[in-house]
Amino acid sequence: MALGGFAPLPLRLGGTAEEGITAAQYKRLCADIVAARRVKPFAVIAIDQNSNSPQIVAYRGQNGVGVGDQPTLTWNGAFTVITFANSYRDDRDRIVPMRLTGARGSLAGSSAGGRVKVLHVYESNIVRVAPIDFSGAVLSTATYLVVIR
Amino acid sequence: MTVTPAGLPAWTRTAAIEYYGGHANKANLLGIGAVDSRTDVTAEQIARLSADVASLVRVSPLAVMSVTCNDTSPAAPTVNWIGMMTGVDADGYAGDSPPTGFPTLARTSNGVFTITFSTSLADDYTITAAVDLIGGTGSVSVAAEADVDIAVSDPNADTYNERATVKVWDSSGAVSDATLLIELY
Repeated sequence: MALGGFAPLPLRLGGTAEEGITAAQYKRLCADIVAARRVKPFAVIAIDQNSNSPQIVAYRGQNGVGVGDQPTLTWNGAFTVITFANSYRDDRDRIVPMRLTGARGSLAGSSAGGRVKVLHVYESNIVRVAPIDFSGAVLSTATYLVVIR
Repeated sequence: MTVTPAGLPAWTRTAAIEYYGGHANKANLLGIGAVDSRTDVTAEQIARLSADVASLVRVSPLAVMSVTCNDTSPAAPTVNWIGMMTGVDADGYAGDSPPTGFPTLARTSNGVFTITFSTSLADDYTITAAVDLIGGTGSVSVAAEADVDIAVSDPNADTYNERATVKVWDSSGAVSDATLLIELY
């Protein structure tokens, strides 16, 4: 197909399925990405409670993957406190403000079950979580996954 | 000539803007933008598109599934529905008889079962990459208070976690015949 006088960008929509992108395909792509963006979590964090010295085992966030992009963890005596920055640097190296909207979690490999208690103040960047048994006692050696939104 | 897609499949979590045509210094040729916004996609739009897609890929679950345990008449759990990065099976299947590319589910005991994926999966372009779970979350659909525990492991000792062990608990112990919604990352 002819790409017009401004190839390679702007991209001129059209052409064949093999060598182009049609306007209809691009509209579908845009709609699907916008839909996914509205509902995806901000981050997924695997945490080892580590005798109440909690550590991040794995971090996958919209801001990046791994140690350099992960939040800080502290233990306040009742909760693991996950603190995100108020902004982060995006893939285009721009600083973008950020506010969390909620969180949930599940235990991983507990001996007798329980759940992950979550305390989050809406639109703050601090999430407090605690792995607990069914009586409410903290499981100090638990591992668990937290999904942050 | 057919091309090979840039980068690696989504579940490797290696997504970067460069996979999708992005670049930190992306520019329109000659600095000239769209001639007609109805027909043209600009460098600015590709830059935003690539950054958003990379962000979404990093946090998307590999698999979301509805599962019903079969404990009263012990059998492999039933997958009611499963959506994966590699495809969807809306018809469901018996956990010990998965369609190609979908995980195997095996009952361990009341309220306990495993979900095991192949060591590698293929994307829509047939590009393969290893499965490496970091964990999962779940919720259980029962009247009493109950919760789900999901631990990942490496059954073939290749340093990648292909298996999730799921336990459904309440305060009195394992919960039988539960129906769960599970997300695996």
